[in-house]
Amino acid sequence: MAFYEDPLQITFILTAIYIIICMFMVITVEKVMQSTYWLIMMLVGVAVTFLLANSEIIFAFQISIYAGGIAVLLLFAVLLTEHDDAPFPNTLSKFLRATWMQLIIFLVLAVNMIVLILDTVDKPDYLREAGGGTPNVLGDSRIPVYGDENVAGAFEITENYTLFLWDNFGPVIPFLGLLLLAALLGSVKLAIREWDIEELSDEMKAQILKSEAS
Amino acid sequence: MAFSIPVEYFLALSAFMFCAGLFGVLTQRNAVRILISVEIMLNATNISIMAFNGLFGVASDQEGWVFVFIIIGIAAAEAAIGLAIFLSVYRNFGEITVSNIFSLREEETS
Amino acid sequence: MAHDPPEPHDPGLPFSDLFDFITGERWDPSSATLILIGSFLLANYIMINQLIAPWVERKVMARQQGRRGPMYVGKWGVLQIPADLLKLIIKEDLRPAGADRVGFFISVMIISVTAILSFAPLPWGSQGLIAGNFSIGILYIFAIFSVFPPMMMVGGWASNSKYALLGGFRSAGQLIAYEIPMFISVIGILAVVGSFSLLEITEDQMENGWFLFRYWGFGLIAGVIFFVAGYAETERIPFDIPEAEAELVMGPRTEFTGWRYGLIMMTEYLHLFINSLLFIYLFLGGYDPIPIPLGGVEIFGNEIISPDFAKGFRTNLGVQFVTMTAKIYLLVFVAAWFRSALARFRIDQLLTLGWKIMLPIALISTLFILGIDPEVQAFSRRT
Repeated sequence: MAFYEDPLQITFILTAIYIIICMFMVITVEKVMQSTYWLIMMLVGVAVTFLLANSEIIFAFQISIYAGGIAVLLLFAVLLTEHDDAPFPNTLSKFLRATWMQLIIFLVLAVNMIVLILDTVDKPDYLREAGGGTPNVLGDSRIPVYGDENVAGAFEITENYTLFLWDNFGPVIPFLGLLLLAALLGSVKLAIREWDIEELSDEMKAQILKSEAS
Repeated sequence: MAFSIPVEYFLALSAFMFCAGLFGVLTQRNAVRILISVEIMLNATNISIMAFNGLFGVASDQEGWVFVFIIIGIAAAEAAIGLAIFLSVYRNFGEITVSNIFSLREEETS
Repeated sequence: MAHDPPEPHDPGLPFSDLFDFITGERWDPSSATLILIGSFLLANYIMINQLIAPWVERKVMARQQGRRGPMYVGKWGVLQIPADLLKLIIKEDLRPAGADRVGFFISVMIISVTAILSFAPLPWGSQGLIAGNFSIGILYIFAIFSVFPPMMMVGGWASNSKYALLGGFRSAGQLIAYEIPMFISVIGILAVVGSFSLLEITEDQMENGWFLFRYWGFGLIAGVIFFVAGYAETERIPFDIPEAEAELVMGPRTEFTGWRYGLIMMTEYLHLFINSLLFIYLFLGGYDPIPIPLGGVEIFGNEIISPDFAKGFRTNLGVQFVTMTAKIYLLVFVAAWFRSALARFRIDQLLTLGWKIMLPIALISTLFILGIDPEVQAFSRRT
């Protein structure tokens, strides 16, 4: 089936175009703050591709942790520091002179990876390895999610996922929690500022001396 | 009629995003921008893991999604630590342009 | 004339039973049509209520302060809010000098669109009166809501005003501080029910009793934590630190005028609705009008109330719909009462309350709920 006959493929292509536009803006836009909010929009687009790959629950994780949590951290860090804006020179010739090596790396790597991936996925050995089916992600797999007449498949998938996570990866989750707690405490320790009493205003100084005396 | 998305679409998007993120990491000098580019690369890997999970996994085994879950959690920790480091670097040096911070090595001769 | 019994509808499809209920015969359009019609009807019902709620609030506040409130436009001032809205829409659209164009636009658009989207998985009756039955239900609402704090900061920065910027900082700090106890107080209930879907949570409450009155008072503790945290998320008095008039003019909303201000006000009342609705679904029994479990009540082996108490009345679709609306307006009344009775917190008091008091209490109540419930015990001992 050609891609323009399939609404899911059209949705995916539109999402991909949206992600690539947002990504272009993230890298090239002038101010760091603008870059950050384009990043938030890009993360929401990535969440939509997760939804298209059958996963409602990873969609929720992506939006709440990435677009909600990490974005707020980035915004705080951007607003609390100073930046020299404008990542790239204005004119094209200066831009090429400044970044020709990175551009070559980018182009060679991108073309190479895409060609390699498409080549590998089309090989018959690989398809046999993948279970004999056609290499499709949504709809043609065993449980359709948003196909017509079958919305209940999503409940089954989410339940399977949570049970799988609990049964097979149960011990990992406390370690992840421990890691996040350590990151929280470490970042608080790093970000907190130790001040001298001479820096304060007279009122604050008097207040602190009074509280220490009591 | 069964609709479906070929896995190549996901993988091509993921490869392009990864290379663009790498381009960002190599060209930017601002530390926050470098971290943002790293986030783009992490998202690219997440997309490709989701696609491979749809390709290999059946409905009962979803290791790929577990990986994505753990990667998202670790990205949160990494962002928190990285931004705290940027704040303390900013306090000590007055800027977070990485090419101007060289107190651990000799000054640039050029 | 013998009829075959009709095949049951797909439980995931919204509204199919409602149309049977209205038209009296079986009606089987495609699922996409049903989802579109259902979303349209529910979204419009919510938007109309969203215009009535501010009027109710102003009337209640006025009564408590010995005034009469809006009186001139329409009977008892009912049309005051639509008139204000019309004025806002036809006003000039101003953008401050030096404002960031894209940020100024997308912040207000994303805030209002996400506020409307959050209503999708909320059921308004047991027979499929729901816009989209997702498997992640409540997690979806939390995820969509978590885009709000960064967008508030972006809006504050993009307005190019110091008041808006400071307000954006305060807003993000407050919202993050209260999202965490809010979610932790819910985890116990999610584990007990074993589902994220608000439909199944409500069915469990109809069967076994409202969560507010279960688990020997720990349900009540979790409910109070959830209500206070949700109320803080709406940024209203006494938690309106981001837009404290005396200090920050209007907080991150300072520079928004005209239709943008209309959208922002709409978002505020929609957030009040979302938090009221979440509290209703999780603790106040959802669309269940009577707080008596359908499974019957027993005290020391003596049956006090027999099972299936008033079942026909409670499973009627119309009764459930009216119950939902009545419960929302009850919580809007409580919100108006708080607003006229309480004074504003200071920012450090607010953050202390969130991180140092509500977070530990929420953790303790969740642990007790998980420890008391027999089903969770059985699940953790399986393998």
